[in-house]
Amino acid sequence: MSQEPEDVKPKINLKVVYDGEEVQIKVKPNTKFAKIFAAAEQRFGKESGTFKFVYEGKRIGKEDTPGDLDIEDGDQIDCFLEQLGGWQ
Amino acid sequence: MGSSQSPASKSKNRHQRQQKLKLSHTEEQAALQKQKDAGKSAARRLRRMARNSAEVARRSTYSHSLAPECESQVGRVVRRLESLLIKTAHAQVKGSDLTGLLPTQCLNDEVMDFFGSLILARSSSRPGSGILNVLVLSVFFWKALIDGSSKVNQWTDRESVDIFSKDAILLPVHHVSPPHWTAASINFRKKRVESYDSLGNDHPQVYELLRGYMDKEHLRKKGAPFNFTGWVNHTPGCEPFAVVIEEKEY
Repeated sequence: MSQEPEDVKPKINLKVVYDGEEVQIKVKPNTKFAKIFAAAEQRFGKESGTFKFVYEGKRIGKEDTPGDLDIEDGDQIDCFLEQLGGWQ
Repeated sequence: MGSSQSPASKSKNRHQRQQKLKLSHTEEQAALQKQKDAGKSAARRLRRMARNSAEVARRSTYSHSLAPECESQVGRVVRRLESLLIKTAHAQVKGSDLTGLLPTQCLNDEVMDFFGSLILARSSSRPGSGILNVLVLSVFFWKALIDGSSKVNQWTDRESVDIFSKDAILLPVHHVSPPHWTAASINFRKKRVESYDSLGNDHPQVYELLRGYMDKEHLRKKGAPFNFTGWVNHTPGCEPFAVVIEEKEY
């Protein structure tokens, strides 16, 4: 890939996957994930705060941006439901 | 013939019969005694088992409430934490997640991973001080493993970790039904694939999947299948704190 410096920050496509289903979300590298989370949850018809988001095995924080995590165009974000366990 | 036995031989025969009877009587006695002993030892065994299972039951019975003097104190601390975000160098947890530590509450994945990060931080803080060199995997690792996803490779590739150089690999294992957390460990020092369940259940799937993972990882990183000679599966039953005990042995 050529390394052409660009003035305008390019948009990147995120592949957001939940339970085998996939949606594409177009974001800017400096978009806070809080906004991306909300968009993804909406696309999957879930309430805000339902999902845990994971990139390459690591949890993504609300305050992170794709740029912080070196996320590139076409990379995949995985969604998980909360896992609970306890006394029985 | 037959009936023409002398009185002497008759008495001899009677004597022999009596002896025989006596013998069989003593044999019977011995057998009875043996049975009695066996019964006693069985009873002893049963009593021991009952004691053990009572102990297991005692240990696996979860307290549904705290002691009254602790209740308000712990409640106060947890309420104060609720609005906080607790951060370490590598992980964070919301105070509200920690309310899962209260009796009868459930622990969520964030608390599990946060605790894992504390173990990891402790392990890497003082190398050579007798603290085991462990890798703690995230709750998502087990999920990827049961899904059969190649994403299990992410954990070691991202940090370029060689799992085979570790003393142990620890991971939380989530069970959906009933919702429950158990711990698993690949114990390289003792050559054991271990499963720890506070409810005392065994989980064959843990051994199966972890062995499969070790084999694939070894093939991927070292170019040969993993040599499982001498390796065993291990579950101690009801010992939630076995990992800590383990470390003291070294």
